[in-house]
Amino acid sequence: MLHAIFLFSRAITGKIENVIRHVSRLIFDETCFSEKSLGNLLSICQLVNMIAEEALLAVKSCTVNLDVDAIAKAVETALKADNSAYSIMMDGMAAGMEEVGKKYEAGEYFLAELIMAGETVREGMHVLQPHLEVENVKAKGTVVIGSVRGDLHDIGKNLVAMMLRSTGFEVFDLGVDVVREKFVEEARHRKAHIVGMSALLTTTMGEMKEVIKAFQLAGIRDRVKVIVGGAPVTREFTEKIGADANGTDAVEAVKICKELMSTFGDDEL
Amino acid sequence: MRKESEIERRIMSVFRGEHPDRVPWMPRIEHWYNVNRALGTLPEELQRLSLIDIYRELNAAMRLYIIGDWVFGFLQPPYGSDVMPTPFKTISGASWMGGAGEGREEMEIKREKVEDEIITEYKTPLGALRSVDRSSEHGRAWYIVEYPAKTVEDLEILQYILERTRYGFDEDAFGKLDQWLGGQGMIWICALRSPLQRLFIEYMGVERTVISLRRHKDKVEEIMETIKRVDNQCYDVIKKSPMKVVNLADNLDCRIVSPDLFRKYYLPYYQERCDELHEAGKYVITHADGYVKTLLPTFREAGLDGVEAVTFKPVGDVTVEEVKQAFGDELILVDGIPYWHFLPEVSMDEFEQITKKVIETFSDRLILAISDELPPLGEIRKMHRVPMIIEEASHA
Repeated sequence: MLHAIFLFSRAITGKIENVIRHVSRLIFDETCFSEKSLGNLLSICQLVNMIAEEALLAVKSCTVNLDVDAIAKAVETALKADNSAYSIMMDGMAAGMEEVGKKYEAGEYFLAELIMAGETVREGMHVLQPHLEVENVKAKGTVVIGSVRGDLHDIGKNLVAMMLRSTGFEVFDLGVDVVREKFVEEARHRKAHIVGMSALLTTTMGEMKEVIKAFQLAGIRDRVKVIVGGAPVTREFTEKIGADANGTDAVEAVKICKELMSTFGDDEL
Repeated sequence: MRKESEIERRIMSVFRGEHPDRVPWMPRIEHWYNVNRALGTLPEELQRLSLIDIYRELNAAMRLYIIGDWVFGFLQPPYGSDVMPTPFKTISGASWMGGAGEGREEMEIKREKVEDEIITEYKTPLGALRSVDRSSEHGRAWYIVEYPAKTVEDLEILQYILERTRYGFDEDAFGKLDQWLGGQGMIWICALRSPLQRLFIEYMGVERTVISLRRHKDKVEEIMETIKRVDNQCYDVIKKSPMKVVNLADNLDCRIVSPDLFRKYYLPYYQERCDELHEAGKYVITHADGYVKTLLPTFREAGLDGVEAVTFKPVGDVTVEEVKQAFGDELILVDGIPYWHFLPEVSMDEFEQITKKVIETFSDRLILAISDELPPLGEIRKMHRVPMIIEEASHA
C-alpha cells in the first residue's frame, strides 16, 4: 500500500501532500488514519522523492565531472530510485551535457573534456538503453550527419553527433567522404529533420552547396533543415550556399539543432 | 660550405634578431601547385614552369620541408611517383610520419596500395598492427583513416616497433636537394611530433587517446616516455645535420590541447628539446595551425624562437594584436596572412589590409607567409601583390 502511494506521489511531484491526502482517503477509512500517520507517510514520500532527485543529480554530476567509472552505477541507482529512463537521460545526462557545454563556452572545458563527457554518457547509456526501449521514448529529432565528399576529417563531426545523441536526438552518422546522393538517400529513408555537413578543407566546402542542390533536385529541401560546420565555414558562406545555419563548434551546433527543431510542427516530429 | 644566398640571409637575420633589409616572404604553395597541376588548372602563365621556377616568378622564398622520409610536396612511392632526394631516412621500424624503414629480424613491415588506400601491416612477435592511409585532394594529400593502435593493449606492440626504430641522414641527398633549391629559399625540417601529439595525430587518434589517457593513464604515459626516449636518436641526427631551423611540427590546436594538457605534457618536453637544439646551434619553431588563444601565454615559456601558421580571425580565434602582445619581441611569427584571404571570396582591398597590418605589427620579427598554405582555390594575383606590399612597407 505504501508503495502505491509512493508511486503515485512520484508521478506527480510538487503536489505531494495533496496526492497523499487524496490517495489515503481512497484507500483508508479517514477515521482510522490519523493526521500523525499521514504526516509520517508524507515524510517518507518526501524522503523517497529526495532520494530519487539525488540519484538524478548524481547522474548529472558524473556527466559534468566526466566520471566515466561511476556513471553506470549512478544510472542503476537512479533507476532503482524509480526515476524513469527518460528522466535519467534528460534530467541527468542531457542536463549534465548542457553544463559541460557551458563550461566549454566559458573556456573551462576543452575538446578533451567534451570527448570524455561523451564517453561518460555512452557508458551511462549502456545501462539505460534497454529501459528507454521499454518506455518507448521518442527522440527529440532525427539528424543525418557526415563529412562531405573528399573530406576525411571527422573529429568535429563526431563531437556534434555525440553531443546530439547525449541530448536526446537520434543521429545517423554517415561517416566521412560522403557523396551527395547518400545524404539525400539517408535523409529520406530516416525521415531526418536535420542534415548536418562538415568540411575542414577549402577544396571540399564547395561540396556542401552541391549537397543542398541535390536536396532541391530530389524535391525534399523544404522538408529538412541544413546545418553546416568546419574551420573554413563562415556565416557568409552558409548564407551563400543556402544552408539554414552554421555551428562554430559542437556546443553551438547542438543549440542550433534544438532551435531548428522548434520550426517543425507537432505532426512532423 | 655553401655561401648564404640573399634570400637565406634575409630569413636568418630574423632568427638572429637582426634587422632584415625587408620582410622575408616565404609562402608554401606546394599543395596549391600539385592540386592545380593534377587538375590542369594552373594559371596559364605558370603552366610551363616548374615549382621552383614559380617561386622565382613570384619573387618568393621556398620553405622546403623535410618531413619524415618525405620532402613536403613531393610524394615518394608508394604514395606517389615524384622523384626527389630524401635526406632523412627511417632505417628500420616506423615513425608513421611518412616513413617506414625495412623491418628487421624481429618484425615485418609490409606496405600495399589498394585503390586509393595504402595499407601498412606491422608484424611483431607480440602481435600485429595495421594502419590505413587514404588519398585525398586528387591524390596530393594522405590522411590516416585507420590508426595503428586501436586499443590500449596495442600500445605494447607499438612500443616494440618504436624501440626498434632507427633514423639516419643522407648528406648526398641533402646536397642534391640544396642544389635543386638553388638559394631560392631554405631547407627546414619537421621533426617528429611530441609524444602526446603523436598519439593524437599518428598512432591512436584524438578520441581514443583522450579516453585512454583518462582510463589507462599509466600505460599511456609509459608509451609517451618510450616515444621521447626513442626520438632522442632522431634528434641526434637532426642536431648533426646542416639544417638550421627545426619545426616541432605539432599542429597545435587548443581545442584539442588544452592549456592544462600543454603545461603537463608539452611544455617540459618543448623546453628540453629547445635547449638541446639551441645548444646544437639550431633555431626552433612549432606549427600551431588551429585555435591558439589559450596557448598563447605558454609559447614564450616553451623556449621557442618562433611559431608557424598562427591563423588570425575569422578562420582562427586570435587577432593580430593579441598574438603580438603574447609574442612580444621574443617570438617570431612565421606565416601570418590567413589562407582564407587568398580565396576569391575575399576582396583585394581586404587582402591588402590584413597583409599590411601583419607586416606593420610584427615588422622585424616576421617571416611573412600564408597561415598555413595557399589553398588550391587561392588567387595567384594576390601572391604577386605581396612582394609589392613588402617593397612599399620597406620604404615607409
